[in-house]
Amino acid sequence: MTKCTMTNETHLSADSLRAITQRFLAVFAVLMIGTVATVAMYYVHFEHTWQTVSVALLIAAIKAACVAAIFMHLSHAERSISLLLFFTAIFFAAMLGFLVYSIYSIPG
Amino acid sequence: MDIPIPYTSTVRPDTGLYNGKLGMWLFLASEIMLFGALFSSYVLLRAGADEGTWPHGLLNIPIGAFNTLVLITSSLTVAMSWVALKASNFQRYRRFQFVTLACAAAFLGIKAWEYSEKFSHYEVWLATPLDVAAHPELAGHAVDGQTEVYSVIGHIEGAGRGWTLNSLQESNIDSIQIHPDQFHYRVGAREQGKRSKAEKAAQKSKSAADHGDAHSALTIPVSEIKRMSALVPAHSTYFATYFTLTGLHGLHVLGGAIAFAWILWPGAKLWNSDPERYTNAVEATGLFWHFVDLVWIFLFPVLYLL
Repeated sequence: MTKCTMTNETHLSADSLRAITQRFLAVFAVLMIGTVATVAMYYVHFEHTWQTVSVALLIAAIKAACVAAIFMHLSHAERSISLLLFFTAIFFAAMLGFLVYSIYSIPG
Repeated sequence: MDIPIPYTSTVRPDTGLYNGKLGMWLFLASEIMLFGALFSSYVLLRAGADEGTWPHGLLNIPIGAFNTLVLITSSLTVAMSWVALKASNFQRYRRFQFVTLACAAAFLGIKAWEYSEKFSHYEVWLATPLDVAAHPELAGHAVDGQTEVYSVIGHIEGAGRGWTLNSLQESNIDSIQIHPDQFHYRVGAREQGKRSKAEKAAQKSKSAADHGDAHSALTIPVSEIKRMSALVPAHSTYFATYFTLTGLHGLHVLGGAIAFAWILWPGAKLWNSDPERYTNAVEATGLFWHFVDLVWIFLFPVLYLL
């Protein structure tokens, strides 16, 4: 299989472009299947709410990971982008973490 | 004298990126925090809502799912248009971007229709609860185990936009006629499924005329109305959250579409003078577009399904 480093190469060979196109189409198929699975999940009726939430968010996370990794080229991300997203993830996790903490620390 | 802007088409050695791409990722980092704050607010409001008060089933799932597919398709066409530019095939790029813009227009059009449907739909809170035995058409509005209905959701005959109890009183309207929806949001999804099956079974043994009666209008005197609201942000925390999140997302779709259209038409001259820079502009805008798609991937289950 042709190895391609995607974005920063000015000129990509025909084989590289074909490989990239195949990857894009594969992600598109995963996203379509994921959407159908998400809607189907609504009609499954899990015993507990947390199970429904977990499955729905898991499917969404898989779809989001595919978009980020392939469509947004993060699977071949440069170090500067990785570093930027690492710090963003920390700030995001802190924001969500403090919020969840605040929910459970409200008296009564 | 023209001073060239550095690293628009070539990679800057210390970052490993051209400047536009780094700028877009910095912007997307701020966008992650913006939508992250709104999602966090949603979690806080949802976790703090009283049992059974968070609405379910008020949004059209097939329409929401279709819009998801539309946005996913547009993400693919954006990615494919970038591939076309890398292959120096400008015509193919244009065809893919036409589809992208058509998808953006379809997404926004469907969202506008959804909004319009909500604005013309009402919930009426009753001063005196109605007995389900006397009003079988409200069977889908009775919460599990209860025989009384405290509020009715449906379409009000002749209602304008944004009617409230005050506007009814100011217009000297004595009563309203409401066509109740099949189910109320306080009835759980599982219970709705059971009742839907039972209703279908009952309908098989009834005549078409009976079926018509089951969905006839309910007359409610204005004196019996405690509160009335269309399904607008003022209706509830749920709809305030829904309109804030989807409204902001819709503005992002509009912004992305405008950027793509600008690059496709007035900006196309750049393709002839500096094709690499043009391709980079499409890639950077594409990153924004994929992010908008990514946000919707979470918005759809969170708002429509959970």
